[in-house]
Amino acid sequence: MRKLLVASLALVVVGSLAACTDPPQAAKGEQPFVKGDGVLRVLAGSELADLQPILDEAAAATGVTVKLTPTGTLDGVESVVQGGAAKQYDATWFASNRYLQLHPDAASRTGTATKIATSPVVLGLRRSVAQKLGWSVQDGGTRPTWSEIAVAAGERKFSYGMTNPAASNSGFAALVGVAAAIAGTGAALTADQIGPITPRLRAFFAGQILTAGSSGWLMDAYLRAGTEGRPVDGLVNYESVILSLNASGKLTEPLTVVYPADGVVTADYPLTLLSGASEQARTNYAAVTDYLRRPSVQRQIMQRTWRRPAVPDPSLTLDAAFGPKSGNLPELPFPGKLDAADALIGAFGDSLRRPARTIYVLDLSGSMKGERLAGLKTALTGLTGADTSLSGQFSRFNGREQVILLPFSTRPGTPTTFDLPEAGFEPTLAQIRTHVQQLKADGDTAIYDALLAAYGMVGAGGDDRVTSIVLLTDGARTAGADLAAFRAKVPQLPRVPVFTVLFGESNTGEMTEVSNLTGGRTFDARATGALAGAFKEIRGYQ
Amino acid sequence: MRRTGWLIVLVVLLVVAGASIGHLLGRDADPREVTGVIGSEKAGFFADPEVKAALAEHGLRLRLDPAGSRRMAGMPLDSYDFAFPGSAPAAAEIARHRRPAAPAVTVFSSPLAVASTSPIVDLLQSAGLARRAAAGGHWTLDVKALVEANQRQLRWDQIPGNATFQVKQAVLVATTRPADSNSAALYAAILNQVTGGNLNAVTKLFADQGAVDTTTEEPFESWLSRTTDFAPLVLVYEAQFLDRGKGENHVLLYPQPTIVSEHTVVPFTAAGAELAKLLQTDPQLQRLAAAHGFRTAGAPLAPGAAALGGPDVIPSPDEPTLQALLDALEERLA
Repeated sequence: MRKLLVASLALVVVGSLAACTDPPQAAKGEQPFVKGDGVLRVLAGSELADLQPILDEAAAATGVTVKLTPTGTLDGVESVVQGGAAKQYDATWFASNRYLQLHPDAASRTGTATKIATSPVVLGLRRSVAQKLGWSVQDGGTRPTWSEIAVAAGERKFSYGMTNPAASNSGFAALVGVAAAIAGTGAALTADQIGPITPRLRAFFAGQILTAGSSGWLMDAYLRAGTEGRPVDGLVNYESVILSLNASGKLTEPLTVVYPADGVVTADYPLTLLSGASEQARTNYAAVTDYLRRPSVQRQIMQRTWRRPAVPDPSLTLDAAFGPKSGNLPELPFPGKLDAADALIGAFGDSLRRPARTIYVLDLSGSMKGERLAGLKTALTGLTGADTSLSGQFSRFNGREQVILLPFSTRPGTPTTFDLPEAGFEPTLAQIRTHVQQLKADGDTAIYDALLAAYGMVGAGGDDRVTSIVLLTDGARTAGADLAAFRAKVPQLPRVPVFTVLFGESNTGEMTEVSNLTGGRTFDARATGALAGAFKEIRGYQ
Repeated sequence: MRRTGWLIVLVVLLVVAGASIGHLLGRDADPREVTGVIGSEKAGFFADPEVKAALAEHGLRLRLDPAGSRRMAGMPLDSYDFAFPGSAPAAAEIARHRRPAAPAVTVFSSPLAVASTSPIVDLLQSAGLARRAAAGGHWTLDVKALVEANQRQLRWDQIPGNATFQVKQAVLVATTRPADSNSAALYAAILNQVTGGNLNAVTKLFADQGAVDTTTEEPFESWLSRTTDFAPLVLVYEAQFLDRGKGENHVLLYPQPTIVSEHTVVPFTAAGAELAKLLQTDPQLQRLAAAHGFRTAGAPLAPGAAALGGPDVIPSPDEPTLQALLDALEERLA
């Protein structure tokens, strides 16, 4: 009797010990979790940040912490194909591998790819606008084709925001989709088909009044425009982004998802091992992909991030917010050749988008002498085609762009304007290079006088350009108007974003406030040699 | 007091003893890990708990990396015990890159097939591209007629009487990339045969698709999730469809002619050779392979599979011939 008591007591102790350290259990009907250990280092598209809660749960279940490092589309691809990514990361996770796989070196640089979720690129429109255009199916409307959308955009019947195709995957996928649909051959787009459809693509992009280098910033800018009483009518982005916005409670008017009748381009989020990943990294990868593809987790991804499941499973039915119910969402072909894809990205900048007016307000005070001025010259020269890297190639000043250089020191200097023609712009780029080489540093730092002078040039011409200001300064204001004076004038200034660049001893607080006041963004170039990268990144917002 | 002391000692002893026995048992039952790179189409077979259990009975546990069969030869193979591509030519190419520890073994086979849905098959039939086989009644896709349709840029919305799939999309079979993946490579070989070596025509059936995936499982899975929205016709192995593709309206077509892919293990180590032998000879594993739709020596016709006659099947080209075709194709596609 006593023995029995002791034995059962022992069992209770053992049982409760186990209970204390119980890891999360696999869902009913699913296999036990695959275990790994440590960290899986992942170079990822920035829009995947919303999966963090799911990844935290994955860590508890598998023992593997997925560490996401965000990057832009072309930067990510460049880093993979040149082999740099494999030195720092075990895997990549972009919205799509389509463009990456077009590069000849991609095959040797990447291994197993596992698709985690899907989301088509669609047009989200304020419901009242969708109704007016007759595109709201729930209100008896019909689904337009991309061509019809392009015609309406060209007639300015609606406005929209979209990310820059060279910087962000959603913009790139949208560009591919609209081009394939308008070309209308039913087969993959080739480079020589871009010319003939340029007028209709130009009409489509005429409606774009908001641009960004990343999806996250585009959302913020879209919401901000709404709260400031100058709403943008819509967004071209992933269905998941539109549905997440609707669910966020932050919109003044819900967005109707317009699914173009002639098809979509779909992101499929492949988590992809890099060649050379260690044995441990491979084990960790297997554990994480096994976790993320479980039907129970696929459902979580759908419910929390509005992405569709990638795993075919009868239990995974789409929630009511996803449409269209009857299917009818055919996939548009993605270019099969690198030259076609690159020609499309190039054409977007040089001939399809609304042309930009880009004003560089450049600190040439005494403190810029030496290395800093040399760094500035290199960074600006890089944008004239001297940077031949993949990201450099697509951040060059564009055909039809107006580039204004406004140097300042004790007072604003003389602005120099360069108008790039639509084609044959090399001579103009050479002029910019020559001009940049002649810049000299001397004197004080009249930041706000110079910034106000730049605003004075914004409206010049009264044309239809996408205008923005870049402010580079390496220290505090020492002459002219101060921040308070600038702040007081902001309400009377035209709505033009200022992208401030932290450099040298920049006043971080003031530069952040300037970008916040104007709807811009602050970029940090204080690390040695970081200025060229910051200037390239800003190109996505101009 | 004394009694309590006894009790504590006993509890501790029991806990320790229990834990040690558990540990010993665990170690005894812990199977050896064997690592391999496999064609993605076999991932479902190896993920089957019954397959895992059958391997564990022989003391083996697998850690697998899926990859395109034609990519394997170019991968770093040093860390693997075996490679398991989808065809004998791919196996031969792999063996050229890392010397096998034992001869390559073909453990099961599966013909190339096309997954589709009945409204699409009806359209194909009315366009003269598909018909039921006189013997057997299975659906066949006339590859020669498909090539001709592709040459005249036929789109689905141009098929007369089409009221079910009015999509402005070229009539194509969605494939993987031939340079990466065995299924697409063998499809290229079929196209090459029916066109009498017309490389331009062969190229067009791939180029028109644009960018595609690298492993056969990827487009098949996309098709299972999105069916016709992903693509109306998807190239698969018969086994994939028989294993997971059955569904309302789903139809399996056989290219006319088709090629039977021979899923072949290339062992690099003794453990890899042991696995190859097991897959080939173990009745339980052979039975499970058949249950996953593969044709095996013991079960040459999986349930639902069509009996393909002589003229329905062409032999796979040998590796040098296939590689030459793929190189020429890749040059045009890149």
